Amino acid sequence: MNVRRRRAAHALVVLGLWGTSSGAEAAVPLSLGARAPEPEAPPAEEDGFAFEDESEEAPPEEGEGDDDGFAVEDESDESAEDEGTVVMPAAPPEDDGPVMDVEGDDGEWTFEIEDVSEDEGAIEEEVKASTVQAEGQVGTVSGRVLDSVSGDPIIGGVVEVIGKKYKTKTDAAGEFSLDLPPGIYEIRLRSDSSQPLRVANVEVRVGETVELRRELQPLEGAGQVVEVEAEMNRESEGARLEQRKKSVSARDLMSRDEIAKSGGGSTSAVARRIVGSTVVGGRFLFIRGLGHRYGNTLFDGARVPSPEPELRTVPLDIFPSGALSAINIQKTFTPDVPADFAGGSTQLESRDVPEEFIFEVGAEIGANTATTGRQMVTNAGFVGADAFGFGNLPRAIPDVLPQDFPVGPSVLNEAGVANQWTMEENERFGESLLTDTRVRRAAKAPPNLGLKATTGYGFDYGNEGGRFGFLLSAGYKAKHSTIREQQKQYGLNEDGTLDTVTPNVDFDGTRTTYNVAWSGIGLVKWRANDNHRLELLGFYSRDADDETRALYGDARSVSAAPVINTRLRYVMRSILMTRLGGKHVFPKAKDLELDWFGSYAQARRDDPSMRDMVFSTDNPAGPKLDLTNGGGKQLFLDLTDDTESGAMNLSLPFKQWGQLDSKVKAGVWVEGKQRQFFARRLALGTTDPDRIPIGTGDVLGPDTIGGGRTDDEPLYYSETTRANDNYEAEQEIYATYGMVDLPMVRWFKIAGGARFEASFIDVNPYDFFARNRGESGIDESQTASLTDYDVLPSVSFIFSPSDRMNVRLVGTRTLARPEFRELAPFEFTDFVGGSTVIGNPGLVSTNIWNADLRWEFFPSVTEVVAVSVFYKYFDRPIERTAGPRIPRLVSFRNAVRAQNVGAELEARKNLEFIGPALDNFSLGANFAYVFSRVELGAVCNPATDPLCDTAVPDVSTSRERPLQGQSPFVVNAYLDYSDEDSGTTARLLYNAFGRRIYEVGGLGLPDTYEEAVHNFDFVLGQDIYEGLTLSVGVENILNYPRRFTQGASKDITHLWWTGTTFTLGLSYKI
Amino acid sequence: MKRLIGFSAIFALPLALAGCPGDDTSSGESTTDNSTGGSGDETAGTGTPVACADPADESARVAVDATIDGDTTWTCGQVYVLNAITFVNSGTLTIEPGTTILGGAGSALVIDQGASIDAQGTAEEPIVMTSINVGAGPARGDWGGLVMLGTAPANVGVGSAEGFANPPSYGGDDAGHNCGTLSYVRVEWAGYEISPGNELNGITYYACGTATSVDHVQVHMGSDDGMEMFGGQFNLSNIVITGAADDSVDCDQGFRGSLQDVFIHQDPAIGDNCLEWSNQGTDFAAQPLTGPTIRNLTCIGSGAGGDKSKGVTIKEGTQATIESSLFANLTNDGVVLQNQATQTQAEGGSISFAGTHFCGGASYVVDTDMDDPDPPGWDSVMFSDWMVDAGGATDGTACPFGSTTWGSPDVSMGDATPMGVNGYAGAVDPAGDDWTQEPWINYGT
Repeated sequence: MNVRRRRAAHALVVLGLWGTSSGAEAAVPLSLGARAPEPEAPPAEEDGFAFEDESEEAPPEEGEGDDDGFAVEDESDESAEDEGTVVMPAAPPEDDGPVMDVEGDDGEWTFEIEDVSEDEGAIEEEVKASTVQAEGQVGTVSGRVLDSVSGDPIIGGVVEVIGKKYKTKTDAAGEFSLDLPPGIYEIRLRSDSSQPLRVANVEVRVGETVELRRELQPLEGAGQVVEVEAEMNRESEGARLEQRKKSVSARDLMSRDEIAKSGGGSTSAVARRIVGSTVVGGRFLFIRGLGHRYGNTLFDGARVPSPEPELRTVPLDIFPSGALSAINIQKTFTPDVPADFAGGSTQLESRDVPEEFIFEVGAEIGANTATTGRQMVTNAGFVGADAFGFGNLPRAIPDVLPQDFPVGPSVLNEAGVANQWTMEENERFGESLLTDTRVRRAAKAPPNLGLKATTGYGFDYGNEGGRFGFLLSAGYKAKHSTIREQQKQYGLNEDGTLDTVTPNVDFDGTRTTYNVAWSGIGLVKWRANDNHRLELLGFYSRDADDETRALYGDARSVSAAPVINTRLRYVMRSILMTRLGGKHVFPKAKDLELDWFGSYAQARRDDPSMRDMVFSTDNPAGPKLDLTNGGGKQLFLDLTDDTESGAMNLSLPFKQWGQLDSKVKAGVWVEGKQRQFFARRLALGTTDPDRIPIGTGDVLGPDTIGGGRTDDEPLYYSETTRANDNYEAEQEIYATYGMVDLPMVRWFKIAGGARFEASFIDVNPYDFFARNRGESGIDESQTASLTDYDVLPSVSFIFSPSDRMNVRLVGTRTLARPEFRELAPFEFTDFVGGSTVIGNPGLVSTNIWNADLRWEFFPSVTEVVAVSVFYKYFDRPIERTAGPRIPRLVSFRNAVRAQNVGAELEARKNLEFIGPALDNFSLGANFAYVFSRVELGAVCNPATDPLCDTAVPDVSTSRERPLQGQSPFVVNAYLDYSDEDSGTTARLLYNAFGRRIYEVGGLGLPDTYEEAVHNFDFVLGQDIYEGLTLSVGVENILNYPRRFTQGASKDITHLWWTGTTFTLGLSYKI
Repeated sequence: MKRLIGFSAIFALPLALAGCPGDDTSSGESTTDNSTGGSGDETAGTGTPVACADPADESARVAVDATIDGDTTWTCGQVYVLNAITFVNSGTLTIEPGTTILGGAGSALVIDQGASIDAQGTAEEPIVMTSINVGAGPARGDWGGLVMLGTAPANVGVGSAEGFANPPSYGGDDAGHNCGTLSYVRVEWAGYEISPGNELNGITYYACGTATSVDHVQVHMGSDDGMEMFGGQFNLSNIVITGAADDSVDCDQGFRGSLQDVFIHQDPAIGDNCLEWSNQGTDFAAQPLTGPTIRNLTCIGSGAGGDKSKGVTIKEGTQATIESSLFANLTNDGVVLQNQATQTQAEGGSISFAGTHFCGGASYVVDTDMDDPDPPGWDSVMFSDWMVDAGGATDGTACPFGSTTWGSPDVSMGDATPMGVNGYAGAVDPAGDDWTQEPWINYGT
């Protein structure tokens, strides 16, 4: 088997080489710091479909904060592609107005936004008054600016040239025309209700006209009510930058090249740069340090189910970078989104379709210092299936196993008085299971490999703005990672210190995970005309971890001599998602806008044939399978969540008394989720312990597995599936909302509304075998249900004392509902060695009151300073508690209250101010501090106290502490370099989080903390030939240890190093 | 064929009359119907004395429901088959002498805090709880075992019992709680793993108080511990543990009761400690401290062919009185001391091996971190000195047992019996009858 595996590895390497050499890649110059974009080609024509070409994006430039970032487009790339069609000899520039400086001298732009009424004359006047055009030898930039959401023209929007005095405004049709001296410009489009957009590399030639047709995203909190922290992050390393600038429209601008240049950073790696965000376990995004319970995940607005049964959060690494154009993190609630979050709502957005034919391929190869080329632990596996993430199929539970009765020599028949199975039947069942439990150590880990490809096409038709496009993207990654870990568990000495001399558990181990992930997305978008659009999305993602683990050491609670514990596990996670949505504007109904979607998603986690073996080392002849202490388990778990969600939103723009743009919006939301959880467990028994073969290798097999009872073969399988290990659960949510966006005066706006949500949860554990015999199998005493009706208000006040400054004050109420598993009153152990968890049917939902105050200031186009403070009050938050059991038992209860007070700071600055030599450098940082306290309440005993709200007594040691998983601080910082001349981009990223509670201690034991981690990543991108880009990445440069500690002296309970990862990638784009 | 034999046995054996006292039969029968599956043999309810049923007679078997409420009597005219984890929620479950209870996969008999068990067999007609496969290839772990839950103090406060879907709680402040009476009871082939990593023991006593009475009880061929006591305080006597796959007598979480006259015989291939006593894995100072007393124990280990066989492991700051006892035939160490908190108890005089002999010699070791070259506290040499000097143990005593053969032990030594604190050491009084040879005990496999 070793040989087989190694061959496969070679094959992968070869493939990888092939991939690298043939893959070409797409690189597009980024104008990172870009004050002086390089002209590459004539500006392209832009059609208005709001997405910009993903491939080449523009330089992240400054940006702004989370809310209104500046988006930058790089026209040059487009133009490169469109050469010939883009630049047309133009008619003489229309003379739109005076070219003279208006108020103000050049450069300094001091325009105040005037009231723009319906009166066209007034608008014209306004445009004229605020226009500064060039005279003489000029070319023209003209175009139209629309609102990307409503499709309405943006009236009075500012069109300005960065670094120059020239500017104008859009007229009543959203159109503009601006004469400029020949040259290459960067043009900014903005309005007081939109996210600014920057278009780089606009080349103006004498006598010619460049057409710019763009859509601007409404300003969150302005155009759409309430603030949204929109981070943009394209799955790339560089995303951090963008994030700032980002903002919704920016997300369309994130370049695919960015991703390539970022070394193909995973989605979750990118997400780590978002203000106040941390990535937990390499997969989950926590916002402001709040854990799984306080986040939700939407994909183009539709609910995405999590493939992890106990967690609400969807692991980000399951989403292919090729599928996403942005991750928006909404930190404050607005009535038009589901209210079940407090930290942040993670809103993934699919890529848009391109404007012309695109084809991109890329390949990367990587190595990790802790893994690659070093000895790893592996299992025989199923080479072909494992390489594509289908290894769960050959590991699936055998068909031979009966469905109506458990397996085992003492299983009773339906009458309950005699055996159900003969020895022969039992032997057949046992021998149908996978019996290879050997851990192989000979192989060396091969390099990691990644391949990806994207293609798409879009075209315009008709005269009414018709447009049709599609996008297909697929990616594949295979990597090995090995960690060498230490695990310890301590008891408390009489003096309250931990007994580190004789830990209860003291293991050293090696774990290798072979991860294969691939995904595909198909997207079709159709715009019938400016008023009607439809989009259809299909997405599938599959990833699989083939994990081999070998631990060696003391487990003093079970054995005086050291034990060997091996585990082979294969976990497949998939998400299938389809979504059909549309957006319609009805000009005849006062521009009433309707948008809607319907979505079906299925998340699955299949965890078949986990084989856990324990060997004792007492026997002088060699290690021997120890059945008494847990050896010989086989476990099958399979979770399927079906989620349907649909929503419809109506919004109606209107003018308030002062003729300022206002909007009223209302909608409905329907959501259903059905879960099926399948579990079967088998354990080995023996008829004669003396005849169990010595050794850790091929102990199990046809020669040793028999049918029990009087069978000569010493081992047999016996089912330990319990009557409530399987469960089905359902949740339905119905919601409706209304909200209004109402400017009082030009510099002050109120937005607010309320959402009503009704939620119905039912959880029914059932007896798998009884059900298969035709009974319901449900024990009513084990079921749980929870019904909630909530009204959730949101109000925000937005002050804009100047063009460059906003102050927002937001107050909202949100909630957190218990997860299925947390409500179900049965005891469940996820896997061998994991915590035993018991639900609490008495749990209620948590009410959360949130207040946010944010001040943001944009000193210049490339710079931002923002400060937020927030306060959250959790009424009866659900916390994990420790139960009175050794080893540990985990349960849940509603604590009395929790409060979080926090502040976030962010700043981004181009270093040009130090000296021109640093023009290409920029520096950014953000910092979040959160003070958190939860009060658990009094200990009570549910057996004797009818008012006690716990399922088992809560013996958690610390009664007042930070919320579990809450870091006191999160820091992200980055230094960027970008040289467009040479096609070089480089980024150094730093992030860190403060120590946080990993596991709550009970019975006097202190809480276990995950210690702070400091991380540096470096990414370099270099254009090497037309369309071909090379990227180099170094992740986790410090190889900082992951340490989990307990007690005042921070004694280590779990320790490992992940190693530093180097990646080399090539991408090519047509 | 078996069925015929069963019937003939019913009519042929006059012994059955003695085994099933008629008085209780009729009243017991009516309540039994509440708790059985209804397929029972109603002839037993006529009031006529009936012979005890043969467990092999399928027609005499009745399936037992998952819950029993109120006073219930099980009679020996039927064979009770446990299909699941049967909770006795209230009342007293009375089991008549000679009654056989068979356990199937995943089953156990649980006496909850609000209920008690009255299982009093006789030397000739013990009450037997065994595997459904008894007589046809039973194996350890074929069924769960007997669990009794009380409200006496345990040092976890109110605990949550292991292994159940709805874990019942135990522990409280009623030191006198009565879990019930076990007398002449044999529990065989138990230890089914009812939840991942949680095998039930042969008999598990959770916080049973002083009113609980346990004598003449054997646990035979359990797949985990023989008996395990979590907290509580009560007395046990004439206890036999044979073939436990793990520890034979395991005490935790503040058990402070005493055991008198105990015979432990380990399987030649499997079995860990004869005694494993620990305080609490989490907090070594949790009160009440575990502090059992055992007197007149004879522990026969696995011998040369075993893997893990040891005499005693004391850890986590437990106290221990092991008096007038004999340890012989151990594969590994005589005594293992873990955790400095336990050393502290030993130094303070709360651990004693007075009058206890390690036949033929044994090693006494301190378990320390294998990575630590110079751990604090005692090393094994210092502990060995303590064992003899202060602990009161005698090392290397000659113990000429009649036989230590697995399946047919004879642990009497007549006049050669070593001396204990107040007379003899070991389970068998050289001056009296050898109780370990009484007919209620099963040494066969």
